[in-house]
Amino acid sequence: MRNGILVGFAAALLLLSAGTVYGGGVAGSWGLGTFLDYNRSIFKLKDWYETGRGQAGVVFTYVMSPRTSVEMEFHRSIFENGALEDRAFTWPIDGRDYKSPDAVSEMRISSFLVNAVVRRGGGGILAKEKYSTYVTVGAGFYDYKTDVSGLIFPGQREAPLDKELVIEPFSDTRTALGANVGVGVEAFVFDNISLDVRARYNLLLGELRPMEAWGLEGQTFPMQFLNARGGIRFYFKK
Amino acid sequence: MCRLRFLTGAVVVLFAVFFAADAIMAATTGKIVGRVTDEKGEPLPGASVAIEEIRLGGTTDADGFYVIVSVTPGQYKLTASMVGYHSVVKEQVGIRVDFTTTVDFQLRETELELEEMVVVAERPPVDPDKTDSRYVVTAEEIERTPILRNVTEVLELEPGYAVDGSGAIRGWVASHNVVYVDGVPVSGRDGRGIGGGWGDGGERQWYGVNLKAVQEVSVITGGMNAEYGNAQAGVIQIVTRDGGAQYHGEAEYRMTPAGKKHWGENVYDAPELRGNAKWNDPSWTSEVDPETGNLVHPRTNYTDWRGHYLDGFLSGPLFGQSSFFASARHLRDAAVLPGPWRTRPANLRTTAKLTVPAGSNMKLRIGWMYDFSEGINNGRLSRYSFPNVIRGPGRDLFIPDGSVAGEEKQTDNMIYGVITHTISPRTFYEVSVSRYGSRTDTSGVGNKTTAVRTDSEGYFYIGREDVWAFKVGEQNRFGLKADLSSQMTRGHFAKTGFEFMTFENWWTWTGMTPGDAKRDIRYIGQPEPGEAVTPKQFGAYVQDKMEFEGLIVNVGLRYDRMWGQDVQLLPSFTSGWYNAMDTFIQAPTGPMRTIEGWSPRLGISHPITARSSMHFYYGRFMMLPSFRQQFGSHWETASGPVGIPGVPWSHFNAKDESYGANVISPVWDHGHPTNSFEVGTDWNFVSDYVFSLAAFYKSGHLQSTGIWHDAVDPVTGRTGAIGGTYGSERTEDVKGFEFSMRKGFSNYFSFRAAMNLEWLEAIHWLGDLESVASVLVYPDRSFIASGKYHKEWRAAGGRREPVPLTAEEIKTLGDKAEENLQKVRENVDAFLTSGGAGPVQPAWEVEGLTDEARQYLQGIWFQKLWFSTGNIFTRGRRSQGSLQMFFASPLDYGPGAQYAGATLFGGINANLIYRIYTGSKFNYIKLTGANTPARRPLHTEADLNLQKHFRFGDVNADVFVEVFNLFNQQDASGITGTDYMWWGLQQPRPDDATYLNYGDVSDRSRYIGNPRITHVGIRLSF
Repeated sequence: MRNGILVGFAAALLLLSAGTVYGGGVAGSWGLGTFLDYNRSIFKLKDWYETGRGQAGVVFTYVMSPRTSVEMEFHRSIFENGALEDRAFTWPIDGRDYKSPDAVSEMRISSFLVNAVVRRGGGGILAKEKYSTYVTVGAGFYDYKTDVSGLIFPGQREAPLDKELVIEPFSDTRTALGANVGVGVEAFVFDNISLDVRARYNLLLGELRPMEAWGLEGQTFPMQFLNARGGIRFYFKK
Repeated sequence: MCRLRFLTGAVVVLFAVFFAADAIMAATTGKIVGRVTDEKGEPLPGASVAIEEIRLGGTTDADGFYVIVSVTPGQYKLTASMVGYHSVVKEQVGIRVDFTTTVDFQLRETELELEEMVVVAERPPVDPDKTDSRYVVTAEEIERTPILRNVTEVLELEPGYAVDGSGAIRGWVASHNVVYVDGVPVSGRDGRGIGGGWGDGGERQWYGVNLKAVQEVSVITGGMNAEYGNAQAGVIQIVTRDGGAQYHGEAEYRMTPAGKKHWGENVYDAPELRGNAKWNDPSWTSEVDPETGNLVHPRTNYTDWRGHYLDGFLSGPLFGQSSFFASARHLRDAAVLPGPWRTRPANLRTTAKLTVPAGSNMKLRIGWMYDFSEGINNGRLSRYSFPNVIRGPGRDLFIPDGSVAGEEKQTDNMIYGVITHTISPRTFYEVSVSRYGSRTDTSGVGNKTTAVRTDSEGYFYIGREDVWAFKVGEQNRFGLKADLSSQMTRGHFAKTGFEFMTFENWWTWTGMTPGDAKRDIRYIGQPEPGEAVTPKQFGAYVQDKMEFEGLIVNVGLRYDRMWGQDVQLLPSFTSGWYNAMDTFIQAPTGPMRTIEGWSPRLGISHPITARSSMHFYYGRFMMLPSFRQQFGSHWETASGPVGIPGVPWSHFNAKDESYGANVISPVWDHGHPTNSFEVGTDWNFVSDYVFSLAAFYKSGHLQSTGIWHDAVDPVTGRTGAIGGTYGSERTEDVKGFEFSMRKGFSNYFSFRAAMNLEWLEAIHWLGDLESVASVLVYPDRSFIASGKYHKEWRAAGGRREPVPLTAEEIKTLGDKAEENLQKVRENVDAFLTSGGAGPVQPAWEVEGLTDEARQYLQGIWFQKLWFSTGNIFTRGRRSQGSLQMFFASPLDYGPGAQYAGATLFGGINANLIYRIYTGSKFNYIKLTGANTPARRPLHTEADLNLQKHFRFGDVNADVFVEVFNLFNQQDASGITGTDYMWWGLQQPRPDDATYLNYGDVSDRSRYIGNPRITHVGIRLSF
C-alpha cells in the first residue's frame, strides 16, 4: 500500500512535469524529488551505531540560476542494532563479563534542512542527457531520538548477578542544529527529470550520554555521519 | 589652527597628568569623519557637514577632511553644503558608540541644474577601526526581536556572553563585569544582594534599564580600552533613548495562559511526596489546624494561575527643544508551584530621561532609573532554604501563603545628570554627577522564632507562629566624573578623564538553620543596621586612538585606587583572641590598606582587504576586591541561640568567615590583576554576511579565594581553623575561540549565529608563596605581655570585656608561645601534608602596613603554607552558542488587498532563537579508579515568536504568539555523578528502594527550567 502510494505520487509528478520545462532561462524553475540514502557513522557516533538506513525523504528545489539552487529537504534515517546490544560490561563483584541478551538500541533521525547547491559550469541543468557536478552545503534541524532498553544493571552489589534487573528504558532526544557539506552529480534523463547522486558529511550539535561500563566513555558530541544518496527529481518551469 | 590644536592637546595631557583623574566616564558617543570633494575629486575646504536632528556639524579643512565628534548613537541625516555647490544629503547614517563612521561627499557646482541629491548611506559591514571584540545591538534590532524581554537576553545572543543565564563573559563570572548606562557605571561589587550570592564575592549586579528604553547596547568581551576599569570579564554599555520632536508611545500586554509549567506530575500527586498525601482519606483531607481553623492539607489549583506582563513607553517634546522619554514595566507572572505567592508581588521598573539642549553647543541629560519589588521573607538563608516553593521530599507543600517572617522590599534608585559641551567641532567634554541608592528592608519581623509545626502525622509542615529573621541594608554611591575628548589631529583622537566615587554601604542578614540549632548572620561593616562603610574609589585614564592610513592603534593607560575606610586591623590574626562576635567587633581598627594599580592597554587594527580587517589586543586589568571581601563577616551560633544576657550578638560565637585588610595577601595592594590577549578578524565575505573570529587567552593572577587561618595559641595549642579570610592566591586561565556569523536585515531576512569554544578553564595554584592556602599565626612573649592578648572575657556594662592576665599567666603563656615559635622555626613543615611552607615572619614588618597596624601587630609572627601545583577544572562550559533568525514581510507582501494596513501575508514577523550549551564540569571517579574531569549533559532550547502587524490610522497594532522551549527539551544539565557516567543513568537505579516504593521522586526537580510555554500578547504604538 505504502509503496503503491509512492509510485502513484511519482507517476503524478511525472505527468505534471511533462513538457513543462522548455528552453530559455532556468532561473525560477522548481522541482520536487524523493530519495533513499545509506548512512555510516564516524568518530564517536560509530561506537554507538555503525550504519543506518535511510527512509523516504523528499526535497523541494528552487533553481536560482544555472549554477545555483536552493533545496528544502525532509529526511528520516534509522540506525538499528546499536553497539550496546552486543557490548558486555565487567561486573566488579565477580570480574566476569556480561552481555544483556534483551538489549535493544536504535536511533531515529528526522532532519529538516535548507541546502545550497553550487554546480560546476552550469550548462548541465534542465537539459536532456546532460549532467552537472556540484557542491552542496546545508544546515537545519536534526531531530534525533535514541531508544535503549533491556540493559542489565551493572551496579548490583550482591552475587549472583540478577539478569532480570534491567535499567529502565531511556532515550536521548533533541531537536539539534546541524550542518552538512557534500558533493554530487545530477544527470537529466529528460529535460525535467533528473537522477541525483550525492555524498555528504553531516554534523549534529547533539549528544548521546556516556555509558562507561559498556566502553562508551564520555558524551558523544557532536554526532557525525556520512551519507550516500540516490534520488529522482521532477522539475517545473516557473 | 595649529596653535589651537596644540593648546587643546596640552589641556588633554594636563588634565590627565595633573588632575590624575579618571574616567570611568565610558564612551556614549561615536564620531563621523570624511572628506568633501568636488566632481573632479579635488578637496573642498570650508564646506560644512551638519546633522540637523541634533544640531551638530563640522567644517572641512584644507584637505577637505571634516570630523564631527560627540554624536550619540542612532541613525541620522547628514548634509554637506557649500556656497556654489549643490547640497548632498546622506540618510540613515548609522552611528555606534566608540566607532568611527566614515561618510564622504562629492558636491557638484550649481551651474549644473540639479536638485539636492539624497543618498541612503550604507554602513560598511566591517568596522575598520575595531580593535576589540565588541558586539553592538541597536534599537532597530531590538525592535525586530520582541521575544527578548531584557538587556541580558539581548546580550546572550552575542558571542562570548553566556547563553545559560549566568551572565558570564568568556567564562568569567558576571560579578566581574562592569555595566554603564549613558556612561555612568551602575553596577558594582559594593555589597548589593550579597546574601544570595555570598560565594565568590558575588554581589548581585543591578542595571535595571527597561529594554524599550535602550537606544544601543553593546558588550565588549575582550579588548577594553583604558577608559574601562574595575572589571575582569567584560564591559556592557547601554545608551538610553532620547525623546524626539514628535510624540511616540507604546503599550504592550502579554499573557501566559493557565497550565502546568514544570516537569513531572502535579505536585499534589507527585512521587516526591512518598505516599504521604492521602487524597482518598477523608480524615486526612479534612484535618483542621486547631490554631488557625484552616485546613491543614489544602489543595490549590495552581495550574490554573495565569501570568500577566505590562510594558510601555511615552516620549516626545517637552518645552523649547527639550524632550523626554519614559518607560515602565510591571510583571505579574504566575508562580510555577504552590508557594508564598501565586502571582508576583508588587513590582515596578521605570526608566526616564530628560534631554535639554542648553545653547547650540551644550546638552543636558537627566536620567532616572527606579526599580521596586516586593517579596516574601522565608526566614532562612538560601543555603538553608526552607521553602518558598516545594523542595526535597515535599514536606513544605502545605505551608500557607505569605510568610511569618515578614515582607521584603527591594528598591534600586539611580539619578544622574550629564552635561555635554562641544567646545569646537573637534573637542568636547562631558561632566556627570550620579547618585545611586539601593535599599533592602524587611517588615513584620517576629520577635522570636517559634518551632515548626507539623500535621497530625508529623510529616507535612504547616508553618510557624513567628520567625525572627531579616535582611536590611543600604548601598549609597555618589559619583562625579569628567571626560574630555579631542580629535587633536587627523590621526589622533585623545581622551582622558577622571571619576571619583564615595560609598555609604551597610548590609545585615540574619536567619537560622532548619533545626533552629543555629543562627546565622552576615554583614558588611558592622552588624548593627545603619553603621556603614564609607570607602572612596578613584580612577583615571588617558588614551589615544591613532589612525594612519587604515592602521588603527589604540593605546591607553589606566589607574585605579580605593582607600579611606577603617577596618579591623587584622581580623583573621586576632580572631583567636576575639572569638565571639561581640568581642570581635571590639577589636582594634585602623585605616585599610590602599589598593591601587596601573593597567596598560594596546589595541591594533588593520584592514586586510576592503571587506576584512584583523585586530590584536593586549591589556592588563585590575579589579578591586568586592565589599564583601573587604568588609564582610559571617558568624554562626555554635550550639543554639544562647549568649550572654544583655550582651548583643554574644550568641554568635562561631566565626565562619571574616574579611578585611589581610596584611599578608598582595590582593590588598594590587587588586585582582588580569592579563588578556586576543587576535581577531572580521570578514564581510559576501553581500551583507559578516564572519568574525577571535582567539583569546586570559590569565587572572591573584584571584580571590578563601584562606584558612590557624592560630597557634599558647593556651589551647594549635586551635585549628580560626576563620577564613579572603586572599588572592590562585590563578584562573581561560583560552578559547569566539566566532560569529551575521547577516544584516535585507531581503526580508536577517540572522546571527554565535559560538564560543573554550578548551581550558582552570583554577590552579602556582606552588609557591603566591599560592597561599592557609596561614599559621603565632604570638610571641612580647605580644602576650603587651595586654593585647586575652584568654578570658567577662560581661560588664552590657558588653564583654577582656580579663587581664595575671603576672604568672603572662610568664607561663609567654613561655609556651616562645616554645611554639621555636618548634615551628626548627621544622617549618610541621603542619604540612602537601605543598610547602614559607619562613616564619614578623607580621609588623610586612610592607605597606599603616602605623596603627604595625603597632598593633608587634609580637605577631606568621607563616604561609601553600598547595602544590595543580589544576581544578571549574565552572566553565566548553561550548555554547546561539542562533537567531528573523523574517519580516513588508506590509504589501503577497496577493490580495491590504486590510488594516497589511495584506494577508504582509506585516508578518517571525523570530526563532536557538541556544545551546554543553554542561559544566565536575570530577568523577572512573571505573578504573582514576579521578577525572567530566561534564554534565548538553542543553538546547528554541524560542519562537510570530507576530502580525496591523495599522489603524496613526495607531500600529501587533498581535503575537510566543512559544518558549518550542521543542519541549528537558534541561538535564544539573545531572552529575558516577551513575550518569558509568551507566548513563539520569533516573534512579532500578533497585533503588524509594524508586520501587513510590516511583521517580525527582521527576519534577531533576530537570531545570520549564516545559513548553506559550504566551500571547498585543502591542499598540503611535
